[in-house]
Amino acid sequence: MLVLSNLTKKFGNFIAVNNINLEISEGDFFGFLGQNGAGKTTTIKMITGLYAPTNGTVQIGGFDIQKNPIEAKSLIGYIPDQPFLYEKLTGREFLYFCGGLYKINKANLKNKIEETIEELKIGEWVDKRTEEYSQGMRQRIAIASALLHNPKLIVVDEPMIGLDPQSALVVKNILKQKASEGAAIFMSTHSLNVAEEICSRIGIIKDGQMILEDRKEIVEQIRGTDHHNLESLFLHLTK
Amino acid sequence: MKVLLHIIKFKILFVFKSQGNFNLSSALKSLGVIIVYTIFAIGVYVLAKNIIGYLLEDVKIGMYLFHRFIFVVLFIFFMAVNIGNIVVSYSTFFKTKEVDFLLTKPISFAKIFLIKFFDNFFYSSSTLLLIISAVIASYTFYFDLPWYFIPLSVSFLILPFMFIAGTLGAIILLVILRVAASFGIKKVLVTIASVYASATILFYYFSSPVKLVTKVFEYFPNINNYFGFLENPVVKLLPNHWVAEALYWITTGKIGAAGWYVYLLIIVSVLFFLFSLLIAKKWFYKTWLVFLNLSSELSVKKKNNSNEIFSFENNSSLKPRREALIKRELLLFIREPSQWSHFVVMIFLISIFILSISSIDVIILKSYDVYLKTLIYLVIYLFNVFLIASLSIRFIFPLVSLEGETIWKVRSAPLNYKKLMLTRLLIYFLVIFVIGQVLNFVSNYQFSILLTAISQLNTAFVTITLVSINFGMGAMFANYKERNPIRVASSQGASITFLFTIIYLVFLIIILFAPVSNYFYAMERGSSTSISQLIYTSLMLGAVTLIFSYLSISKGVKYFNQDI
Repeated sequence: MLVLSNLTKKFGNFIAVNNINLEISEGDFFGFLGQNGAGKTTTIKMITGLYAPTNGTVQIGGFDIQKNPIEAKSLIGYIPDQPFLYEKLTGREFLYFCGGLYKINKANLKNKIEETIEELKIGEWVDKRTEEYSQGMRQRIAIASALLHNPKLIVVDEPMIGLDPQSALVVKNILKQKASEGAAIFMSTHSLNVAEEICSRIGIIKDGQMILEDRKEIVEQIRGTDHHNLESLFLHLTK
Repeated sequence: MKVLLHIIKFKILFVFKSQGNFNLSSALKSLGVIIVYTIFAIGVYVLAKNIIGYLLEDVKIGMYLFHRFIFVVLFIFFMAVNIGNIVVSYSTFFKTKEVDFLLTKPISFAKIFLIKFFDNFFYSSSTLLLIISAVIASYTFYFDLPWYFIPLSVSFLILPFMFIAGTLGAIILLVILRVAASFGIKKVLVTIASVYASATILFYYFSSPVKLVTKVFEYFPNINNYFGFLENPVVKLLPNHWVAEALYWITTGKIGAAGWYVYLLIIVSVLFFLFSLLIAKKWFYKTWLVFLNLSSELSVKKKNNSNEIFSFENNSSLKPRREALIKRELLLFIREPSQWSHFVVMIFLISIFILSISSIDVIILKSYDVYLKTLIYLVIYLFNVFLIASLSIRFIFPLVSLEGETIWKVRSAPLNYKKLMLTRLLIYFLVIFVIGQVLNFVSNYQFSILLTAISQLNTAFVTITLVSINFGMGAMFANYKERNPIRVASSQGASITFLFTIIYLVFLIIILFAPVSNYFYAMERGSSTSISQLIYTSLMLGAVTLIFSYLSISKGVKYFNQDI
């Protein structure tokens, strides 16, 4: 579903992402870990078409995001770390707006919005303007907006920021459910516990380079060594 | 005082730091900006000097009447600075994160007000100050005054004059919000709007430029003989009168008489400033709380959306994507006070212009001088273009920036950016286009059907060009972090766009002057009026429009497509 080939991004002389190669299939739940400034968000911005790579390609469902952006983007649901919303629109209006961008017809969209509101438990405040929302509320509206068109690839940047424990649980469950339904999930997170708990695969990026990318089973094997948990492994690899 | 200086120091540091790292590209960009501003200032200087020369030497209106014209022009400046400060202050005083931050610190409310007021005043008035300074320079050299008259008059006449307008704007805003807490914002806004409308109408009633010109032209070409029309004593209380009077007495060599007006301007500006500080000390925090309450009241969404015209839930014959984009645009516009309020103010000013211009027939009918007719036609036409340009810079230039930090949604959606931007552009273009056509018709129908028809076509081309240029430049200088459209429309990029617009206006004068005056000559001689020159000019404008629009829009879309 997602193929990154020799993906590189330079800002002047600074190499933010250096030659990353990665493949994620349907149903994979990929946890993308790294310290602050390691290149996680830059990679995500290239996957979603917000940045153009300096070198390499991003393929989504066989479509190159730079050459066939419309086809590729119609397969993605993107949830940014700082989900800025139109402050003067209500959450529901924002969802209608997003549905329109993906050409969902009105009747289906109405049903889908109601369904998503129910799933994410946002009915209480979805009709208030988003300028009144807390970070967690914004995050949940952004998640709802990313799921409306049943994306084949869900790209999530730090999904748990600002969420209370109940909301975090709702979000984790939804993402797990989407993965079990066959969506590929690419999730960047600082929360090693979350990654350990819900990801089927894990990758670690440091200074723009992928220093670990493997199946969870291998991570499990590593646990048998001195690095008995992901946190210890992460700290060891990124020190 | 120490805290104040400390904050100002860091604000200056921020301005320098926000210019980015010094490299060849940024140096060239800064150099380009300096060159454009310099050319603009020189252009204003030359234009103003020619206008002064024309009015005093060709039309011979005399010193007294000339300074009445300055008085009327300064009134427009006063209103522009005053209303601009009210509208922009609303955002800078209450809607910026900086104020939220400063309110949590042990700083007095008057100091916070002071910091934001200066921030606001210099940000929104710097281009106007540049224009006035260039005009003052042309005035100085025309009347052979010493060079140091320029800095002295800018410092002691113009700055106090603008300062009165700015502080008055800030005071009015604080009063509006304070009173709104008791009477409700709608009642207060309607009252204030009525007061402004009445003040403007009364000003034009007491010192009507149309009446003035009509009376004066009864004596044409011996305008020097005219001294009978004196303004109403009420207008002598206005600061624009004091500036005009000071200039008049300085040029006639009576410095003592001028000194009184300079003294008055400085004293009143200081008093207004102290009064604004006093009000801020008492009310700034209270008005901030009122603002929070108002925002909260306004943002409480009624559960029943179906009554709203632009509700997303209403069925529409438009395609889903187009419907989503159009409804988003309209909802964001009508729910953003700085957008609709500014639009209403501009429409109000345009309406006054239309009302004034509709009574100018006396002049046209009575004057048979071809040169004068051409001049009247071009001045009115350029004023129309200027209004279209103002609407474009205010509403089109910020279009790309207003995608704001929410751009992540649009950029990650499967959209053709060109179609997206063209859909948004089309909404605003249609409004400006209709206004431009109405303006042109009202101000031209008295000339002739043929000239009016050609003017309509030319105005259409001009509107397309100006809208496209503003779109392209707005994309080039896009600032996705700025949420306030007024600040985007008065940014450095917008100022450069405005300068390009002035150059475009000069281009219009150059290509229209000969065909229009030839047309009036032919009409005057009763010979068959050849319209071929006018048609060729329109074709040339059409070609220029095509080139500029294509380049601007394609560049704009390209800039929108860059990394964010």
